Order: sequence, then structure tokens, then C-alpha cells
Amino acid sequence: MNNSDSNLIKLGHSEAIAVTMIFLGSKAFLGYPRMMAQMGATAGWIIILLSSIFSIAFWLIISSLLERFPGKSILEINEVVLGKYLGFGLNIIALLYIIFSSSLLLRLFSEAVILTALPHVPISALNFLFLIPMFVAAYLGLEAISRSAYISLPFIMAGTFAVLVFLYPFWDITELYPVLGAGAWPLLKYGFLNTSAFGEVLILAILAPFFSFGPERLRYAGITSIVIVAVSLILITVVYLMVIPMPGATENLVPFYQLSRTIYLGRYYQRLESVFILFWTFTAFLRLAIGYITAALITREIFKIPYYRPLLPALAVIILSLALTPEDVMKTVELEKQLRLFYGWIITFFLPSSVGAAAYLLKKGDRRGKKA
Amino acid sequence: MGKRLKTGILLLNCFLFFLVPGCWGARETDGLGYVLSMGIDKGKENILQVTFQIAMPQAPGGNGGGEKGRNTEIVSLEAASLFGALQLANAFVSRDVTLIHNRAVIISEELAREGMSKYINPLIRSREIRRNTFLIVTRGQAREFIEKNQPLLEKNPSRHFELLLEGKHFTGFIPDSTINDFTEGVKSPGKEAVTSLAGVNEGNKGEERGWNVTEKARQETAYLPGTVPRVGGNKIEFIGLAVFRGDRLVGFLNGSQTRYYQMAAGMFESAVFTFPDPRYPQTYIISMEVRKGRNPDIHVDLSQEVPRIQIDQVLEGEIMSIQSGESYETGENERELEEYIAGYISREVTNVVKAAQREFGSDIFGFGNYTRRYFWTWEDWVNYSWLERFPTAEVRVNTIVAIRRTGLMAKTVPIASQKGGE
Repeated sequence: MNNSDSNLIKLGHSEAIAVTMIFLGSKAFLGYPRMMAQMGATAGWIIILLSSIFSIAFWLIISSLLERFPGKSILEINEVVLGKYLGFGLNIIALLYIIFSSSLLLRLFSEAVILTALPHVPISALNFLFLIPMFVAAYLGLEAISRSAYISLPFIMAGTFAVLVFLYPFWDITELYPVLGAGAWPLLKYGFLNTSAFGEVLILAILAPFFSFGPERLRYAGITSIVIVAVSLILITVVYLMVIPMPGATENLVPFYQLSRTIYLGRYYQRLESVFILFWTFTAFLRLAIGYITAALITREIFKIPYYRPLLPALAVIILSLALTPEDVMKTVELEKQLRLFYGWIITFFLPSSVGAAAYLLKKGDRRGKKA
Repeated sequence: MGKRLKTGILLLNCFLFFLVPGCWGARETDGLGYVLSMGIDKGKENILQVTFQIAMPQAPGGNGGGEKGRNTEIVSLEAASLFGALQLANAFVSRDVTLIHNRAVIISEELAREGMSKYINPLIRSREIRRNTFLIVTRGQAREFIEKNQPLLEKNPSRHFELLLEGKHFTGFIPDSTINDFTEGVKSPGKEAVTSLAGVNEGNKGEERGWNVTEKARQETAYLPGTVPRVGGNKIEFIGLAVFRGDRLVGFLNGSQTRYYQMAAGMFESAVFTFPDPRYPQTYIISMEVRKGRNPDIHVDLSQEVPRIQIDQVLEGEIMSIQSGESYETGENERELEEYIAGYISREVTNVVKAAQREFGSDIFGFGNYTRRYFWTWEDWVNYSWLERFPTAEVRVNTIVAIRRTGLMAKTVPIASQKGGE
């Protein structure tokens, strides 16, 4: 990857995991637990378990591809393996995916703020107000974002688990039965389709040149991120299903917020959700900033531009415009479900894995790091 | 990065604070009218009559609004919907009336009998109302209940409701009753909903009923709201529960039944019970504080054609009073008392379950949730239609009572006049 304006940046293992975890895990604060309940009923959490297993399998294929081309990003590898034009096409698809997904998330996070805290603020204003810190963060660069992610991750995790633990008086394990929920076949089907939820681990492959460690540790960074995020998502979904059981679990637009509103530990410890709103808005900001700078870095790579910063305003306009395109919140939710949770795996896992297969068949690259 | 650029970014960040979009929806604290409790009755001119109990501002210097001594204003108005009524209230209440601090929703018996979901669903959808808001059914009118509620020890009605409803932990007279509990009960294929039951007591001083001691002990807490024999105090009372089938009110359990209901439902914590003395049931009583020893084991056996419900519970007791002077504190006497009370409680729990089967046909205990383990998928379980099968289920209750403490007395020495007697 072209390092013209970031040649000094080398992110450590922990920062890589923190960035990936926030990139993957932020969906927990939106409708993800509800969608698991809709797809898997009382066994929604099994979908996440299956997805994470499939995702790790995909990631192993992708990381072995990265091992064949040490120091190269997946974008560069696409061009080396598939040739200039096909590689370019594939990279454009990845760019469009990351722009679309960031736009949808920008809209959804803004809608969540309207729904929960600031009901009278116009959506455009909230989008814009998310965009300003995103721009500042992206301008400051990947290093600033990754360090912010690294520093804030323990607080975000602590805040998230505090909500789950504080709900202990409302846990009812019988609500997790029948064990197979929607049934074995739907669980398997949605478990595979929902692999998209972990597809964003691909960011590690995109940002590979920025890391101070080799492909071997990158593989473990990916697996660690997927496992920790999967465990967190499973815990959130399990607590959600125990506290707001089926069929009511399929109703809530912002389940995690509803959970935090339910906390009642006596008269003095209630109404705690305002504290948690801070956690998840900061997570949203980090997630959006990571998506934004990744889009800029991909654009720079595809078009062989020496700097990414001049691209930021143009990308901001595109992301903002796309975020404002869906007519209403429910259409945005549906779009996210279709794009990011059902078909995203094709772009994030299937295509890179196919490139891996092509590299193997065409004998391009080398496991021991010889030049392609 | 240049120093000027850094300064610029820092300034831009500072400027962001001014852009924080709260101003769009700014609602100043002194511009809001906080509803503390809300009552819903059937309307005459329109669908609903909604009553709001609104907090009156009390400035420390006495310059706040409102009359001296009153801390809430009660207004009722008719509208087609709850939120329509809330809007309409702003036609004569100067402040923006909001439900964000509403602690209790009180629904009249008449409305509850027609079905409550259509009134509760908007509350779940609203960002102003929390799912843990208390939901109460009142015998009679909700407006009357709110009006007659004159707490003696609390100024704040929200706190008053919280403290009153927290009383369930040591009386067992009312069940957990929030909007969340109700919604869960209405929507679950494995249980039905209940709510706390409240009412207005206009001064029932009690009357001679010709009960013997055994019956008096049994009836001690068997009251519905409005019927507790008492003089003085706040006119409202919370005792018993409202039974629902679907979202419709189908009947009540009194205070005594509610305690046994909670044992069967696994919600019982502790309460003081009065039992007839096993050796002198027509003459003396025994008072005991009974606590949950451990969570009850509830099994529903579906292997036979008729489902069998088995409840095994362990309770712990502390003797509070032995009128007869018998030394039930130790040895064989203690075991005799434990077995007697265990049998007594088992019978009463069984009676309550059977009453729910026969009179209401409603599984308010959530036994259906224990049938989930028999099914692999949600659809199979729903298709089993537990709620239709519940009335025919067989019920067995097994109680173990262990007397753990005897108060500050180790034994009871008979009074002098009884020495050498009996």
C-alpha cells in the first residue's frame, strides 16, 4: 500500500485488535440482538456462535493469502493475483461496500440518538455532527484513531458488561428454551448468512501494511477479535432474550438501549441509561471514523494517489448524501439487514477467499514470503 | 502537523460544544410539568378519561407555583388516546406535560376487563415511559384512586408508590407489577399476566362474621383492596392481584392467595403468616415469619396425556408468637409444628393453583415456561398450546418447612396459673 502520508505509522498488535473489535462490535448497540431474535427466536445466540465459526474459517483462508504476500494489503494482492483490471474492479466493490456500510451506520447511529435522547433534532444535523469528529479523527490519521480505540475499548467493554450484570435480577434462563429456537435449518442458514456480521475483520487485511507485525500475528489478531466480539455479542443476545423474552424480543428497535433503561437496582440505582449513551455514542464515532478513513485509504490505493487527506471532504459528502438517502428509519434498518447482514459476506469473505483460491491455483505468491 | 493546524483543530473541537444539538429539543427543567402517576378510565364523551397527577414546583423560599401544602395537581380529561390526552392537557397546564418521571400507570377495573393491550402498547413504544413503570389495576375508578391517595408519611407520590410496592418483599400481598411484566405475560405462550391490585378503602371498620380461630387465622390477610378492616391512614390500599387471560382482566386473588400464588410462581420472598395452633386449632394461633429457603423446584411432566405439575419448595421460619404456651421450639414438638405448617401451606398453594385453573383458566404462575424443555423448537412449543391445556393439569405441592429461629425465646414456660393444669 502506498504510504506517502503515513509512512511513519506502524500500529501494534493491541491497537489492531482494538480497531477491529470496535469495527465489528459496534453493531451490538443497534438492532443486532433484535435481528438475532427474529432469525433464531430463543436460539438467536446460536446464530452468532455458528457465524463466528464460519468467519474464523474464512479468515484463515484470507490470512493464508496474506501470508503469501507479506507486507501487502488485500487490495494490492487482488491486483497481483487477478491482474490490473479485475483487481481494480474487486477493489472498487470493496470501496463501495465500505462507503455504503459506513453511510448506513451513520444514519442508524444518528437515528438511534434521535430515538433515545434528542427526539427533536433533524437527522441531517445529527449526521453532520457525527461527520465533523469523523473528519477530524480521519484527518489526524489512523494512528490517532487506533490509539483512541485502544484507550477507550476497556471502558466500552466495562460499560457494556456492567449493563448485562446490572440486569441480573431480571435474568430468567427458562426463556432460552426451546434450545433450537427457530429450528436447526434456519439456525444453520442464518448462521452462514450472518457471517457478514464478522466480515469487517477484513479491515485487518486492508490495513495490513500499517501493522508492525507480520501475517502470522495478523491471523491471530483476526481470530482474537472475532472470538472476543462473538462472545460479547452472544452474551448481549442471551441477556436480551432472558430480560425481554420472545416474542417481545423481536419488537425493540434499539435493544441495548432498552436493556439499559430496564436497569433497576432499587430506588437509588435506576435511570442509568444516560451514562451508557455516552459509551455507545463514542463507540459509534470510533466505528464511523474507522470506516471513513478506511474508505479514504482504499480510494488512495485504488487510484494510486499519494495522499488520502484531500479525499476526505469528497468522501464525507458521499457518505452524508448516502446516509440521508433512505426515506425512513425502517427502510434503513431493512437495507442494513440486506446489505450488511445477508449479502456482506460475499464481498468481505467470499471474494477475498476466492482470490486466495486463485492465488493457490495460479501459484502466485509464496507461503515463505518469496516475491510473487 | 503544524502548530497552527493543531490550534485550529483544537478550536474547532471547542466550537463543537456550541453545536451540540440539544438546543433543538431543549426543554428546560422549569418548563416541564412532571406527571408522577397516570390513571386511565373509560371516558363518557370520548374513549378514555385520563388523569394526570402532576408535580407542583416547590421553591425553597416558597415562591414556586402551587398552593401551600399541596405538592401535586390532579387533572382529568377525555381523549381518544393517551398521548392525545397529554397534548390536550397542555391546553390548560402552563408547562410542557411530560411522562419522563411517571412512576405508575393505574387502570380501572372496567377498562381492564375490556382488554388492556391497546392502552399499554403505546406506553411501550414511547421513549418517555419506562418498561419498569408500575402497572396497577384499581377496583373502581382510576381518577378516584389518584384523588384519594393522600400519603401520610411521604410528600412525593412517586416515592410513595415505590415504597408501597416494595412492601411486597416482606408482605407478599402484591406481585411484581411493571409494564414489562404485563407485556411479557400477555405475549408469552407460556404464561398469563397479572398486575398489582389496588383500591380505595372508604372506612371498612369490619363486622362480626362468626369465624372460629382457625378461620380467623386463615382469613387474616384474605382481603381485596377496599375491604381491609381498619380505621385511619391513607385511603388507598394495595393488596391482592388482578388475573388476566390474554389482555383481559378475568378476576382477582386476595392478599392471602397472592402470597401462595407467589410461592407457586417462585416469586415468594418472605411474609408473616398466622396459623392455627396444631394442638389447639380452635383456640390458639401461631405467628411465624416465613422466608424462601431456596428457589422452588418446579417440574411439569408432559409424558402423560394430562400434564402434571410438581412444586417442591423449601421454606424457613422464625417463630414470632405461640399463644398456647406449648414449647414448639425444639425436638419432636418442633418437627410436629414444621410438618403441620408444611401441610397447611401445601394445601393453600394447591387451592390457589386449582382456583386459577377452574375459575380463571389462566396460567398466571408461568408453569408453561417449564414445558419449554420438552420441545426443540419455538414453533413446536407454541403449537403445543400450553395455555389451553393448563386447566386440566394435575398439581402436586410438596413443602418442607424448617424452623430456623425462635425469636429471642429459647422455650416457652407456661404462665403460673396454668402450672399443674392441663
